[in-house]
Amino acid sequence: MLIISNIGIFTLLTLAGLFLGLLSFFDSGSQGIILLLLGISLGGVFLFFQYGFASGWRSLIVNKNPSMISCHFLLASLCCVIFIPLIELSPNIIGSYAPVNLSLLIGAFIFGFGMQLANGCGSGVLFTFGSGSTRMMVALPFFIIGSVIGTFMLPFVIDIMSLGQIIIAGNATVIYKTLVNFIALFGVFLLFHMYVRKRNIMIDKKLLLGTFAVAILCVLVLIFSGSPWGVTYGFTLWGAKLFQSVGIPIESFTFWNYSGPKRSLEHSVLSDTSSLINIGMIIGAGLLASMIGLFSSAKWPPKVELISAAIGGLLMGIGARLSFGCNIGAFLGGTASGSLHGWIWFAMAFVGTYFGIIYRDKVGFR
Amino acid sequence: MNEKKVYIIIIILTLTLIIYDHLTSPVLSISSPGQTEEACAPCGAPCKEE
Repeated sequence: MLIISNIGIFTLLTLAGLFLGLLSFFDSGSQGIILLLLGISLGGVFLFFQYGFASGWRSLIVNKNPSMISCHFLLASLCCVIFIPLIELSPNIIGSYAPVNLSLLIGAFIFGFGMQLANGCGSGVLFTFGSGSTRMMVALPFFIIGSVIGTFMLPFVIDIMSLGQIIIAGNATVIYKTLVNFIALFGVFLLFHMYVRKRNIMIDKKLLLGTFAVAILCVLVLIFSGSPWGVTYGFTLWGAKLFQSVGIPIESFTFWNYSGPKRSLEHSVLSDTSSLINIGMIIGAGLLASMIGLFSSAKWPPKVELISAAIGGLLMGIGARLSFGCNIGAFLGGTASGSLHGWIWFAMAFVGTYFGIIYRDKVGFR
Repeated sequence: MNEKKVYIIIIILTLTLIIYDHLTSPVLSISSPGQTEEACAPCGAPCKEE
C-alpha cells in the first residue's frame, strides 16, 4: 500500500498539476499536456535517481570520483545518436545551436562558479526546489532575477569575438556527423570510465539506470516540443513577466524585441516549452518528495549557505543567458546536437566549478 | 518560519500568478524562442549579419 507522508502537499501539487494540465490542454491540445507530463516525469526521475550535475562535477574535483560525470557524457552520447538524425531529417525539429563567442566563455565560467555556491545547476535547482529544499527557495528567485539581468547584457556582448555557430562535422552526411559526435562523447565517457576502473570505483547501477531514463525523456522532449530540452529560458521569461507586472518596461529592451523572446513575452507562460517542463518538474519532484517524506527533513541551512545560494542563483542566471543555457540546454543539448558551443560550455563551466569549490572551502560549506 | 509553510505559500503564489498570466495572455501554439528564423541561439538571440 502506498503511504503518503505529506498528504497536504501531495494534494496541493496533484490539484495544481491537474489544473495546469487542463488549462494547457484546452489551449494547445495534447502537446501541452504531454510536455507537462514529461516535466513531471523528469522531476520524479531526477529526484529518484538523485541525478545531479553540480555534485557530480564536485565529486570528480574533490573526491577524484568521475563516475557521475562519466554518466553525463554517456547521457549526451545516447542523446546524440537520436538527436542528430532527427534534427537533420525532420524540418520541424531544431538543434541546440549557439555561437562560439566571448559571452559563451565568460557566461559558462560564471555559471559553473554559481552552480557550486547554490549547490545545484538549472535542473538541480528545479527538482530540489520541488522537493522542498529551503536552500533552493532562496536560489531560484535569484536565478530568475539574474537571468533577466542577463537579457539586458546579452545584446551588447553577443557579437564580441564571435565565430558564429560551429557545427561539428557540419558538412558531412547525417550518418558521419552522428558517428563523429557519438565517438567524441562516448570517448570521453570511456576515458572517465577507465579512470573509474583504475581507482576501483564501480559506477552505481542506479546512476546508470537514471542516465537511460533521462536520455529517453530528453528524446521525448525533443520529439514533442521540436527542440532540445532547456531549463533556463523559462526562468528568464518568468522574471521578465514579473518585472513587467511591477512597471519595468522589459518590452522596450533589445532582447525582448527579438522575435522569439517577444513572442513568448506576449503569450501565456503555458505556451512556452521550457516553462511547461519546468513547472512539471517542480510538481513531479514535489509529488515524489511528499510520498517519501522528504518535506519532514527540510531545514533552513546556515546563513552563510543561504547567502551563497542567493549569490549562486544570481550568477547562474546571468551566466545562463550569456552562455546560452545551463548543463541541460547548453552542455547536454549543445553536445547532443553536434554544436561546438556545448563542449566549450562544459570546459569553461568546469573551470568555474573548480573556483566555486575553493570558495565553498573558504566559507566553510557543510 | 516553518519550511513547509514557506513552500506551500510559494506554490500557491506561483500557481495564482501562472493562472493570472494565462487568463490575461493569448496562446497561439506552444513554442521555444529558438524556433524562429532569425534565432542564432536557443534563447532566440540573433547573430550579427555578415
